[in-house]
Amino acid sequence: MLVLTRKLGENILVGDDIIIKVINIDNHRVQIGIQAPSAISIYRMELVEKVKEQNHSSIIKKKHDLIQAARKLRKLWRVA
Amino acid sequence: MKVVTQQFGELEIPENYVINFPSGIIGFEDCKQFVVIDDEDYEPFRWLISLDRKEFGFPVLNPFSLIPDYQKEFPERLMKLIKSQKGGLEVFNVVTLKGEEQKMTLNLKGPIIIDYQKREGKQIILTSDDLSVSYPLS
Repeated sequence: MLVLTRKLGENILVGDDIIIKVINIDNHRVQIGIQAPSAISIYRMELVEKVKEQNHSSIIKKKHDLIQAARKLRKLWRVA
Repeated sequence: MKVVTQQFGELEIPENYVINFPSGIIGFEDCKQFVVIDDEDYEPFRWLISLDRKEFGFPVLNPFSLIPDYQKEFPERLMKLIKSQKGGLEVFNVVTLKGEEQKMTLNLKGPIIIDYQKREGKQIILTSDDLSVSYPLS
C-alpha cells in the first residue's frame, strides 16, 4: 500500500483519471473528495462489508426452507 | 447448455439466459455468470444461481410492488432507465432467511440490477442511511 502524507488542498492522481482531494481536516475527521469516471463505484468500506456479510448469509442451504418462506409470504399477501 | 445446479439438479439453459456480472456480486467477485430461475414453488421469490460456484444460489425479490417508495432511493437517471425500458432492466433485492423462525428480510441497501438486453448485471450500494440490509418482510 502506498502511504502519502497530504496537506489541506493537496491532491493525488490515481491511474489516468481518478483524483483524490483532501478537502477538510477537522479533529479526527478528514473530508476526502474523489473524482472518478461514473462507471467506477465508490463506497464506504464498512457498507461493502455489511452487504458482503448479508450476501453470505443469504445463501440457501435447504431448498425446503425457501419453499416454506414462499408459502408464508404468499399467504401474507393474500390477507393484506 | 447444460448446467448442474445444487438447487435444481441438471438444467438445460438457453445461452441467452446467462447474465454476465463483470464485477461479480459483493463478496463473490469471482462469480461472473448467473441465471435467474423461476419456479412456482418459490413464488414470489426467484432464484439467482451462480454458474461459477454451483452451490451458490440465493433468493431474490423484485421490491417495487412491495415497497413503492423504494424507487426514490435510486439515482434519478438509473430509475428513468429502469422505468423506460419496461422489462429490459430489472431490480432484485436479496432475501435472507434467519433464525429458528426463518424470518424473511430484504437487503434494500445493496440491490442487484440486471439488464436483460445487454445480459449484464451488478450489485450496487445505495447511499441513503435509512436503507437496511435486513428490511423485514413479515
